[in-house]
Amino acid sequence: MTTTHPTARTYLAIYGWLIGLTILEVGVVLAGWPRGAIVTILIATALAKALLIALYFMHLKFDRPVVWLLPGIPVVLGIVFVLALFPDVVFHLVQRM
Amino acid sequence: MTRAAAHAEPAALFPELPVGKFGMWVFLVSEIMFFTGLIGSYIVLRLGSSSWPRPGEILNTPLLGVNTIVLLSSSLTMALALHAAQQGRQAALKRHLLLTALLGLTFLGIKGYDYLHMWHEGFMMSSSLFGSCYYLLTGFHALHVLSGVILLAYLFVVASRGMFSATNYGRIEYSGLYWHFIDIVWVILFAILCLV
Repeated sequence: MTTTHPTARTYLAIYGWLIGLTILEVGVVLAGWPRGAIVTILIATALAKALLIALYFMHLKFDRPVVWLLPGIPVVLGIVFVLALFPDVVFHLVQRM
Repeated sequence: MTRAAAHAEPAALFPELPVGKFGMWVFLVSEIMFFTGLIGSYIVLRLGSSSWPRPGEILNTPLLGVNTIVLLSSSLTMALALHAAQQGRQAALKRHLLLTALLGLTFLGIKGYDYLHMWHEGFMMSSSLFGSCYYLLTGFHALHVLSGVILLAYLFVVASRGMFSATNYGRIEYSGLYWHFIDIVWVILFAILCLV
């Protein structure tokens, strides 16, 4: 078990941020902002929310850095997997144009 | 080697990490690969398609937003359950575990209503590529939430028997990792599937 843990107040503060970011996400979509702005904001807020949950609720912030290797490796591999298929996607897009 | 000694022995590559926690992380690594494959395929399919419906025209965005808040709230109660266990507060532990399970069931209930509503509107798995992706991704996620609720029910029974204490809360912590992971998956699905 981890030796250091956040307090209940920290959990509540993180929860507040998560709710605020979710309201922001729905808000920008319903407000009909430009598509580029919506996509940028949604990716940023989703990553921020995922990071907050991992750091504080899953205690990665309080674990030894080596523990980051466990979730970090598959996440990086996943990103590489998507990026590796991008040339194929772009090739098909160019063919259609 | 006794069971207690086996539990206390740290994983060789990760000193000071209990075996149970190491095992849960290894399981989560396989889960990350599973969902990364699905989400990665969705991104590639979407970028490679000439036309794609706007999710807001098909999905009930405010309802899915409420469901997101429900799942985020369940992550808070799960974290507070662990906090209570670490302090040996048995009543608070049971209350927060029960709340987490109920919030998980609420999430599934809203998801079920969402599915029924969309089927009524004619949006099926066979309707389009987006339909296939939506039901596949959210369906697998819902199955994981259901598994989490069953796990929480088990923890509640164990907690009711007073088997957790300020020095014995490993199963709460490891189950919490799984529950928060489900939350992270939904946070990403909600953004890329339901909003973009």
